[in-house]
Amino acid sequence: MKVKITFLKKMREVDVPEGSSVREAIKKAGINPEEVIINMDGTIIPDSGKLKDNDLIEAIRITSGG
Amino acid sequence: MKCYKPSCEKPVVYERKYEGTAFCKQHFLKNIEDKIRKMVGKYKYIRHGDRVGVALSGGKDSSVLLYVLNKLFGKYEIKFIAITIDEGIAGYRNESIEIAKKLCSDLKIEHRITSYKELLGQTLDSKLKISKEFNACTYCGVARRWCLNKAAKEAEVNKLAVGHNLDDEAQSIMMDYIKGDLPRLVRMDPNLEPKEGFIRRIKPLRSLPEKEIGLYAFLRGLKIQEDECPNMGGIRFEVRDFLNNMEAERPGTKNSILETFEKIVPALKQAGKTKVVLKECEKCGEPCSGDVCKTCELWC
Repeated sequence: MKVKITFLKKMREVDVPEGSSVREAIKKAGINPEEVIINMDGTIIPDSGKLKDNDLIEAIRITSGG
Repeated sequence: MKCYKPSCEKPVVYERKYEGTAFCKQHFLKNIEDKIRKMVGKYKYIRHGDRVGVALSGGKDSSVLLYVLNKLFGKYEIKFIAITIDEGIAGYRNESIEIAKKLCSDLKIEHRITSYKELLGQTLDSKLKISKEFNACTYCGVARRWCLNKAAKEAEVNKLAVGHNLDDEAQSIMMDYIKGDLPRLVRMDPNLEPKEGFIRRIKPLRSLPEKEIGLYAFLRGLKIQEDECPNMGGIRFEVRDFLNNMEAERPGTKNSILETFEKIVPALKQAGKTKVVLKECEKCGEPCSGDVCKTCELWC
């Protein structure tokens, strides 16, 4: 299934197995799960959340200094 | 997973893998505030009558620090004063300073802003154009500590709260190991009394992972600046990436680094490896271990 991920204002699309989790999808996109929080449709979802085909998620980077 | 509160049916927003717990939004926010309250209590960071400077860059860590300290302790006889140091990094610091100003205005907290330009005579950008011997973080780190200490003294605070989180602490500990810098390592002891001339620094966020602070900021509606400092580089960022990769595969790595450090630091102090005699800098009068402080050495 295809999942779209926006990260730092750029869109990436990854191909992951059906039933993959958020964590699996963002790792496939080369993003470290420790460095982002995930927003889907205005709701924060945990890394273990399951995705469906054509889901769109936003990875918000939080490792940018304090 | 379900929220750790037995009766809670609300959707989970965060899974704390290093504890095996999960939280809904409401219980996550409360848990973070409870952890900060416990950290303040554990090290007696804040007491009645304190004037507490809060180093506020406008980034997520310092914004959460100010917000939560004010929420937990603002109603007591404790005065908070936010202190912002503008390093003069074009295209980066301006945005976060505006965030800092708005937060202080919303919380009705006194806000003092000064800059490298004002205190040291030049911005970081102009310094880096002429000085190439060290990386940007070396010049900036040294200057920021000096400026914060100076600004804190001018504000007449007796404590200076900084937004160092678990990631920052774990990175610093690893860097000090790598460099073999034992005196610097011991200076990270939260029980250390400050030497004369230094305002005591307190770190209420030190046990919290950066990710949890970022999530707290987001859920509270605090603005998060996603841009990274354009000058970032050097060993800290290599250590950061290494630790994030370790934590992703082995949850609890960063906590373990901090906990182990706290167990060994008393032994290091007892072994007398860390005694430093302070003098006054010949140029600026601030405390230092040599004849001239590091800030004057690098900036003057």
